[in-house]
Amino acid sequence: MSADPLPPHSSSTVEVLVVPGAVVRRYDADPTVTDAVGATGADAVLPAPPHANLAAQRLLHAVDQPVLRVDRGMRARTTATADGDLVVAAAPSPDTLPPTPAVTGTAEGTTPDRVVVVTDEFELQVVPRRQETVLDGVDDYLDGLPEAWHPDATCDGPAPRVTHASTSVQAGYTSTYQPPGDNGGTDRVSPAGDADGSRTHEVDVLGLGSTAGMGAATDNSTSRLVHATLYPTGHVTTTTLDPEDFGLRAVEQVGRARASSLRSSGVTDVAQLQEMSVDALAAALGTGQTTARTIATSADALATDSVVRTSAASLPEDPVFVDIETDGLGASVAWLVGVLNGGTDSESYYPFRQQSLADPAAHLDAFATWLQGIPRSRPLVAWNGYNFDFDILTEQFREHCPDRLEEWESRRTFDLLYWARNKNNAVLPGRSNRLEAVAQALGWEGHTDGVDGATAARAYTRWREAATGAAPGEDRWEPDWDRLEAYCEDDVRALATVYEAIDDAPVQSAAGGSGVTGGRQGSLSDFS
Amino acid sequence: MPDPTPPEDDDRSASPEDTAADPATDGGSDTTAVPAGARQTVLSDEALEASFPDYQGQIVESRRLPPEPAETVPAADVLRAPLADELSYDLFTHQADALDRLDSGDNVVTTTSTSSGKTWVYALQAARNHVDDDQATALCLYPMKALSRDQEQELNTKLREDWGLDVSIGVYDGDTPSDRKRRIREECNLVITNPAGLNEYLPRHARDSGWVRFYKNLELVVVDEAHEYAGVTGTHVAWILRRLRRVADHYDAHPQFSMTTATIGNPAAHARRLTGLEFSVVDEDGSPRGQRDVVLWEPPVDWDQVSGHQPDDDRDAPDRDRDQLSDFEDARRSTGSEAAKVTAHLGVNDIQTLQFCSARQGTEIATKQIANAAGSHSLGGGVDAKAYHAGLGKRTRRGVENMLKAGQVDAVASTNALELGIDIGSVDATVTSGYPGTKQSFWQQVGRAGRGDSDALSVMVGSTDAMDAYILDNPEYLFSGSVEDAVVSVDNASVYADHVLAAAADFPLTDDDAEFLGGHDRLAGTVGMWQDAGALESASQLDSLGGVVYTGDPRPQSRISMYGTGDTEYVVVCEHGEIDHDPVAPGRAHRDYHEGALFLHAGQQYEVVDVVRDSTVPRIHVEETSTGLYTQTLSQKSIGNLQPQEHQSLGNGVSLYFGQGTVDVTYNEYIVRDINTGELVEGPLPTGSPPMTLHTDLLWVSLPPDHVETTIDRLDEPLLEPTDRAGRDPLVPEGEKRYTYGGGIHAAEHGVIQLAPLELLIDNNDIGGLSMPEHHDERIPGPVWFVHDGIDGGIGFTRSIYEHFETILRRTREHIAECDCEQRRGCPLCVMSEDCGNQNDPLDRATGRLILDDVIAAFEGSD
Repeated sequence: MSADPLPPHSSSTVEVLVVPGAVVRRYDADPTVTDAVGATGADAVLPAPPHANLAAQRLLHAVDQPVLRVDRGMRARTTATADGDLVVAAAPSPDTLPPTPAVTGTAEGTTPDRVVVVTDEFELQVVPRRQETVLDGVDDYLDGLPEAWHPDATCDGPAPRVTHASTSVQAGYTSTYQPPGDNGGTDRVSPAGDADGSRTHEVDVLGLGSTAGMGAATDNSTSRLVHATLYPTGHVTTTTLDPEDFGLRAVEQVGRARASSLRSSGVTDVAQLQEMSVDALAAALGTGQTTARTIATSADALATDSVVRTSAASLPEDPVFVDIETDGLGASVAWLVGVLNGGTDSESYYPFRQQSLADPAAHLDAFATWLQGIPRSRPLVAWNGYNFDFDILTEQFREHCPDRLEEWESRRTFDLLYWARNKNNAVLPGRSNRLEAVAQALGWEGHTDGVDGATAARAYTRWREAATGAAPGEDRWEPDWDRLEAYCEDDVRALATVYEAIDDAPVQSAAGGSGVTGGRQGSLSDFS
Repeated sequence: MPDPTPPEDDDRSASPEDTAADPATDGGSDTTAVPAGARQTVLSDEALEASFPDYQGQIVESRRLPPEPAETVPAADVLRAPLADELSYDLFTHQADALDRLDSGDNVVTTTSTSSGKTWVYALQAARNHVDDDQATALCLYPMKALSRDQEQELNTKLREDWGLDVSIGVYDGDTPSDRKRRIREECNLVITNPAGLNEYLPRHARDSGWVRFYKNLELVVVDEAHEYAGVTGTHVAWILRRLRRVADHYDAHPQFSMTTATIGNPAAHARRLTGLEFSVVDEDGSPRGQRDVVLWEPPVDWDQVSGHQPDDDRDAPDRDRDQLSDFEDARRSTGSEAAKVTAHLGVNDIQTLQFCSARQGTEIATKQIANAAGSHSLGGGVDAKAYHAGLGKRTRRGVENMLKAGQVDAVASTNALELGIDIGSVDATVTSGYPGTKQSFWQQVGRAGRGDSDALSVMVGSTDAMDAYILDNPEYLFSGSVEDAVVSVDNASVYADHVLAAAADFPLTDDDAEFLGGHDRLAGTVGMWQDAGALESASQLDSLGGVVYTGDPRPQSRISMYGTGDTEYVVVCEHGEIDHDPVAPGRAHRDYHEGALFLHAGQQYEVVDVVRDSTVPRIHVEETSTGLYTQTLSQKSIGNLQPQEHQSLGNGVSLYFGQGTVDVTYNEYIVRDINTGELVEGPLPTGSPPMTLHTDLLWVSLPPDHVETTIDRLDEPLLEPTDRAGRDPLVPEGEKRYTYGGGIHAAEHGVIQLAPLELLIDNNDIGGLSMPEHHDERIPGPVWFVHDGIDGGIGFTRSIYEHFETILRRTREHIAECDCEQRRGCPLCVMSEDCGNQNDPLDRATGRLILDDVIAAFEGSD
């Protein structure tokens, strides 16, 4: 796979929603999964263990998209990008594959750039006592492939690259695997991107499921959906989704029991829920007016993709929007500080980015200097800033620019997510607390596809690694900084979008009027 | 002329390593100076004969430990003016000693007796640090939340009220509200938590200026009751403490450690293994003690009532569809009811008593038995008894603690949960129902009676297993020699690997971390594994700028269980009712909580009706029941993939190995028996439990190929006749010779496992064994017996048995030869084991003795 962690710009992709059977057992295929399919724009759904067959059975009836089941069937099921560059083929067994990778093309005479074969026949295990990982079952799986699919198969004419994906391996896992016999008989798994060029018989391996046996690294305590975006280049980005953010469960105060009560009274989706009056809701659920009103308000926000203000509290004026990029969740660096001075229509986006490894302070210093020109009355606004951006920036100033720490700590900070959700000042649309999800529901569209926080972190880490080893003046690998800066700009603009939407949303009146379906009784104090 | 004065050792930090005081002579007492048999009037022969129902002279030993006066040092000799002035009393010598060593920069482990004022050591050190620098912080770790609340109160009283310091102290754990947590992070000088909590809180340092303040100023880390951290939990704690040191080092803080522990054999080594640091040991107790009587009480066992008991002639196969163990059920029950009778006897005599039981169920049963026994006691009167164990809800536990303190309850039946320093005031007496397995634990329980210099009484009622039998026959074992070594290992690879991930989430890993995280090679290897698995960023390396970043699912530390090596624990759910039951580790779930299993919990019998294994949180569904039956699980075990690591060739073809291997266990069947008669009611039935594979530490004794023949030739007794059951069990050796030999090697294996805790602080429920006349491994020429850790990845138990093997072997040989049962097939007092998956068949003491003799002779030949 590519050494560049950034997927190509404006590439065609296949969007796959990975659905473990445990999710359909615990939630519903319809509307939980169907809702998630809609929200992610999935091209296909992929049933995954545990209980993949259960997921397959339920999904066949619930979704219109292809169900890429690998548990049974007489032929491989495929889905492809519109241009045919990427084909995803789910093969219940090796003999269900087409005779060669080249003939999987969507139109006569076309050859895809890449074919992703999905199976459940190998899984990833860590073996701490031997300090190694094992792709259990992969050799038998590869041996069983038709001749033309073998890693060392030769063919005349253009041959697609083949990636072997397993629903028994954690989504997000990528590696190149060296089958035994190629290099003295020892198995070798190396992380993607480590390839040293000699990839004749290497196999691209991909995870498209969830897995146990990874110690503390994987969270198996909840059933989750995974949205995977597959690129013809072999790039993959994955986002984990909580099923509770979809279907009726997405509505505040609606848990398993209430969702079940609603279904038995004929309400199966958020749109239907939104039609109900508070009184009818209270009666159907046997709750008080306050809870019923919270449910109704949340259903409103979700069904109409709008913000509902639930308090008279107002947002501070003249915000400055801030977002940082780091090297991971346990961040040790904030290598990019993006600020948007003004609203969504502002031209004033400034990326303060670390320019050289040797100087981890200059961009922070520049950011602090720029801030001096901003009146102290103006709040710095970040999404989840109290748990991430602001704390990390404080630590970065403490470590690298201690002389500017006091100045930084004196600035007014404001966490929009905290204000809206934790302080119950507004109910937001969107299927999760992720900024992109909320902003997209409000009509925002990003311009930098294929980049997310994890990808940006990886790109930075790879640059840091390349730069560390390089001699002065030597050519070294550089990521597409413009694209990373543009990604950060996307995020601050998304933030501004949400901010303005909240600011513009009418406060729910005493009569339950504006912004809320008419006829509801209520008073402002119910929300205080 | 000899030099009259040995050179003085004036280096205060140089303490002779691991010279823990003999518990009995702790403080210099000498039991021989007291008339033999002297004890408090309430347990005098006269009093017992007059009032104890059916007294038959059960007391086999009683020792009087004389009172000890306090040895003190003026506070001003140790502490500087402002603090010394606040202290209106002298310090005990051990407190002064520990403070001096801390002052000289040492890490100190204090291992003096229960209630000797160990808290003072770290309280004063924290106070002293605070006087020098009011920003200084300290972290106090207690093994249980209950202890934390207790100690918060005590530390507040001392530091703030008594010594007038403006220190702020807070308990930070799962019960602390989040607003309070924020204030504690921002303001507190002294934060109290537990290791499991610390594991969760460590990564917050990077996101929180409060934690940054705390770690930057961290001068003292207190690890209280450190003997609790052994086995798997100890392994986790060892890594958590190393991660703590790493985070502190990140902020350029290098805190001192002040550790306290109950008396153990190896305090310095234990402290070093837990922290990775050197410690000096303070073990000369200066606290006063009242007169203490320790009484050993042997419940009568009527061997004639044991069915099939035919001393010295047991050629005929007993009826193996009867449970041989259940023949001893009466005897076993009598331990509990004897203990209850003793407690009741003390209770009616107005002596407040704490009775220690080995199992949670035992405490519930004991309260009923105590009340009943008091009712039928000749002095009459009621005894109000309560149960206490960790499985009870928090409020219930708090209630019992308060009743004890206020003297509102006459007797409490507790598990070892009350061994620890939870403040329950003082009780007059303790009764130990069944030897708790270790001297350390025994003396800790004894220490719960008679705080300060009041007189105290402790009774140990023997139980029907090999350890108790050994101790009642050899009481000197309790009163002399050193206590057991605490066993903790940092070798378990799974536990280590998970903490490497957690450390990466604390902050990125670099080469500098090797000193905290197992050395460079081990760290690099495991980091490489996690990079391959995608849980650590693979673009960078340990020597990279910025280090290696964690990329797995968020919060890896929260997925670490302190009680296991990475497996998901089962939750116990009651279908139509409530059950307050701790989660169950998979191994135990497979063995004891399969569908159809019956078990007793909090005095109620339950049946397992369903086990959901493939759920994200596996569940055991139970229902309340009352059947008069019990279940017993059978197992099949095989051992393979042996990788010898150490080898001792002992001569005569006998070899001892230590290494790693694979243990496959299936708890595939169970049988149902009648509680009263032990008769087989149903079964064997399938358990539905999946097979388990452990990759773990093993030792094995390999004997010469002709050992079956040569041993049987020397056997003076007739060969054993295989039982019907054995005939149906393909794993039991066929033919009388091999059956008899199999019984011998099986007996040797059981004996070693059952008596290993005499030397080592280990839980033999976490050790397993297997023996056989031949093994498929070609490197094993003849008969072999294995001992293995029952925890995946190993926890150091088998290694310590390997290191003490000859001593344990000799004790086993002696005990098997001398058991009162005089039965060829043994009894629970010698070689029968409750945990045996083969229904203790075959067992042969006679052949076992010959095999043990040969191994001991080989040891002697190799010396």
